[in-house]
Amino acid sequence: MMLRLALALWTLIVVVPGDPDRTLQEAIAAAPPGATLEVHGGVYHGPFLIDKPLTLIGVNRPVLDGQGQGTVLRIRAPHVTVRGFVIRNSGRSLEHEDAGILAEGAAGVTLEDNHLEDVLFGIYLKDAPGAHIRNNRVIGLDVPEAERGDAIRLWYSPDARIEGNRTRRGRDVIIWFSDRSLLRGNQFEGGRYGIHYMYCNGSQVEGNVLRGNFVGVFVMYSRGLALRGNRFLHQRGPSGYGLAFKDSDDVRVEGNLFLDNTAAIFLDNTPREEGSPVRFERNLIAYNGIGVLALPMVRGVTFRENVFWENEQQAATQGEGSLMASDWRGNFWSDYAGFDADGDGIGDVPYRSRRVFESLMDQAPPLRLFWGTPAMQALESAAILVPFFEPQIRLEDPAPRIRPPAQAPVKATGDAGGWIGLGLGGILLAAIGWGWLRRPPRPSRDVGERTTPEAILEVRGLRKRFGETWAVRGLDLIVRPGEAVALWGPNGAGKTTVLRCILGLLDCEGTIRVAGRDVRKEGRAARQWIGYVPQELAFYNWTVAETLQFFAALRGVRVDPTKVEALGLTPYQDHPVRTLSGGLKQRLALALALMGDPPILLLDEPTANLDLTARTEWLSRLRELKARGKTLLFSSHRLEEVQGLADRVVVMQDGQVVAEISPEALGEAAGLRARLRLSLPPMELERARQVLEASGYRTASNGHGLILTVPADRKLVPVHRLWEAGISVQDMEWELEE
Amino acid sequence: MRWSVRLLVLLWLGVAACTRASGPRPPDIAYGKDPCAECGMIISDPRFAAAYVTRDGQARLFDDIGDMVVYHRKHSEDVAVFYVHDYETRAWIDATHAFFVSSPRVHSPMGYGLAAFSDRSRAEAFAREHGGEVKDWARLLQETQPPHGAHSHP
Repeated sequence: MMLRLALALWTLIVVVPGDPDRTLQEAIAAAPPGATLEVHGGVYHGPFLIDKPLTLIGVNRPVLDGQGQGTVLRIRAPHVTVRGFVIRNSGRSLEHEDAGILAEGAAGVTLEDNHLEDVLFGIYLKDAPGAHIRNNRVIGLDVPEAERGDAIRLWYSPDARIEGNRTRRGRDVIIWFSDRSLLRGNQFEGGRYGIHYMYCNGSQVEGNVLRGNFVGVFVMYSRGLALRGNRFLHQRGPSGYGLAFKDSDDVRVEGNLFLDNTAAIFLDNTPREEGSPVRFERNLIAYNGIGVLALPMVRGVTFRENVFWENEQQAATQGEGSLMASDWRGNFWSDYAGFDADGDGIGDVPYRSRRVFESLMDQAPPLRLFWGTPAMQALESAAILVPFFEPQIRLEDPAPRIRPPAQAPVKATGDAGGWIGLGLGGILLAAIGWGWLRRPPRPSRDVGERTTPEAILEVRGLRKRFGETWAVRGLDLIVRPGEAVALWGPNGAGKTTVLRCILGLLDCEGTIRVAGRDVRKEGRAARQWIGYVPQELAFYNWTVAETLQFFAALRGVRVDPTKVEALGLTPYQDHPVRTLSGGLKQRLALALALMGDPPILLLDEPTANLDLTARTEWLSRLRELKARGKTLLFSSHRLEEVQGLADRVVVMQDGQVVAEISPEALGEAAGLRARLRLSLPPMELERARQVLEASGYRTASNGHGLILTVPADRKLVPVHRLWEAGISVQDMEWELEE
Repeated sequence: MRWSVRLLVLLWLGVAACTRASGPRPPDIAYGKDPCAECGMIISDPRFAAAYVTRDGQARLFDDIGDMVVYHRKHSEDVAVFYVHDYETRAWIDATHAFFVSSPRVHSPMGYGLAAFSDRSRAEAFAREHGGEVKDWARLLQETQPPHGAHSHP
């Protein structure tokens, strides 16, 4: 027996394609149990069956082609390893569940580093306990969703380890009747159910990315699940839940990121048994339609130290009822309007989530049609002003946190970078947060049809009114890729309003397209292309590192230390943002805007709060970004900024474009005047004044220099006059007069 | 001749209209969009999709025949017609006159393993081929349980 085993372990069989004496199936049949087959690159025509313990190693990625007949590779024996193959072209029968690899009645199977393509089901385990499925790629058929098979399916296959796999376009990843599975570091995209658990106990789900599925993870009739450090992104379908539970008990959900789902968390009859623990802790739940959606009878769920960040509704019930029967103590709510007088970090008044419109909607579902419309907003504000009915309180947090909890969501990549003790930044996010909500820009299949070919940004007939006043009245603007365009005009010309309309922060008339996408209809997709640097940031007490890490967590990226270093922010990591100089604040804003590498940057008066040195440095940074291909649109009323950066100047006045000119022509055309501040030696001050007045300038003194106003394109003339009189000007600052 | 054709068309339209007006019709399911009333999952597979219509005209949609039975048991609504799909033809049929094969080898969306057939002989043939037993509606209502008592297992 020992001898046989040793023999088997020594048996290495080399298989090459096109061998006239022996096909791969024949080699498998001839191999002794326990042997290793080294299968070399090329195409092998199947289907194939492995009915004894064997190890198949693909060298140079050999292809197993099922020729469209049934399952490509069937495993019917324990301890089979299949590594490094392309497995393709299964049958198409949903009835027979044709798969790439099917392991049936086979314990301890290892499937590693295989690429499954053009298969109905991907990897299918039936009664196959203790399987290891690692680093495989499964791409489903490009057929309607109803005709697809599952990317990965486990059926009565407990103790599986499923790690580092990526699936796209499959129907579901199914884990049914299979206890104690571990799913770690997988990426499941574009399917129906990212993961569907049913009748599974004791499962671990860690560090996975669920992106753009109908539902990220749905857990049904299961017990003892822990979900940690997963990212639930962009589940935006009609029932687009990030993570959903039905009839489940003993659940821990910790340190996950929920971003941009229709509803981040859905609860139906969970916990099922009274007193069974269901805990959500330290999750970041941001920018979802609904943060937590629960059926009315859900009770006894614990929410601790979660961050509820700018969800359209932080929590809601489906149908009538409240969420008061769960424990909401000690979370951070971005819409908390209370205060912390005793400075203990806990708000002194409870957080109460309520919403007027919802109570109406529950009574009259057709009102859902108005969901998210100005009509709804009007109704809400009316109800707040004139409480003609009592808004329903949905939940209460008696001890809301003033600062977000100390722990970060564990990053899916294993990066444990914490974002510690963040301050409140609602204003910041309201102003700029949407800018970071882009997914990496994807090519739009109909860009060409929808936009002027060369435009990356196209504004047509833009109008915006605040009360009686028109801030923008009919503006057209085209920006081409790689261009730097300045919006020029005095304060009140409408520049900032235009930028905010482009960002979708203001509701405007007219059309705005970013890379072909209508900002109003496809705002989210459009904003993926834009990074926004506002005029001023409100960061409160966050440190630089906290700020960077928070936004990185939100974006699902890591903070890139080289970029932080390149922007000269490294030495300031532990400084509170409010203590930074204007220049450093602006660099931080740029670092945030550049997260996710958007092709377009919008900048609102980028140098408004900077001194001369910082301005010069900032401009050179922006020039560098432009040289790297970024498209820039910025508002400005500083000539040197425009002349140093812009390719084109759009001159605005009273909400309209009055001219489009070159930066060189700007000074002249606008008849601009610059206000100079000349620094002079104190003893020369009086003589300098006399020299300049003699040349026709009117001057004023500020103690250590003179202030005078000159035509913008004649700034150096007074310096020359003084030079000729033997007075040296030590320094000069200037700005344009409005 | 032409008049007779027109008359026939008119008659046919009249009959069609009467038929439509006479009772509930199977509801339309938007596959890939509509969720199951019991489990909340999106209904994708017409072979297993089921529905009932209440006497006051409300439709309930299900992704699995078993979910319809369980939901009805919980809510006891006043149902006018129960519908299931014939597993092979995928046509809507009246569930009360259908024959059901209950088999662990039928992988239905919620694991009940139920397939419906409009006639007994096809149901029996299917049960012979795949294993399982044939049940009528009354038995189904009585016997259907969630497929796996997960909570009773350790």
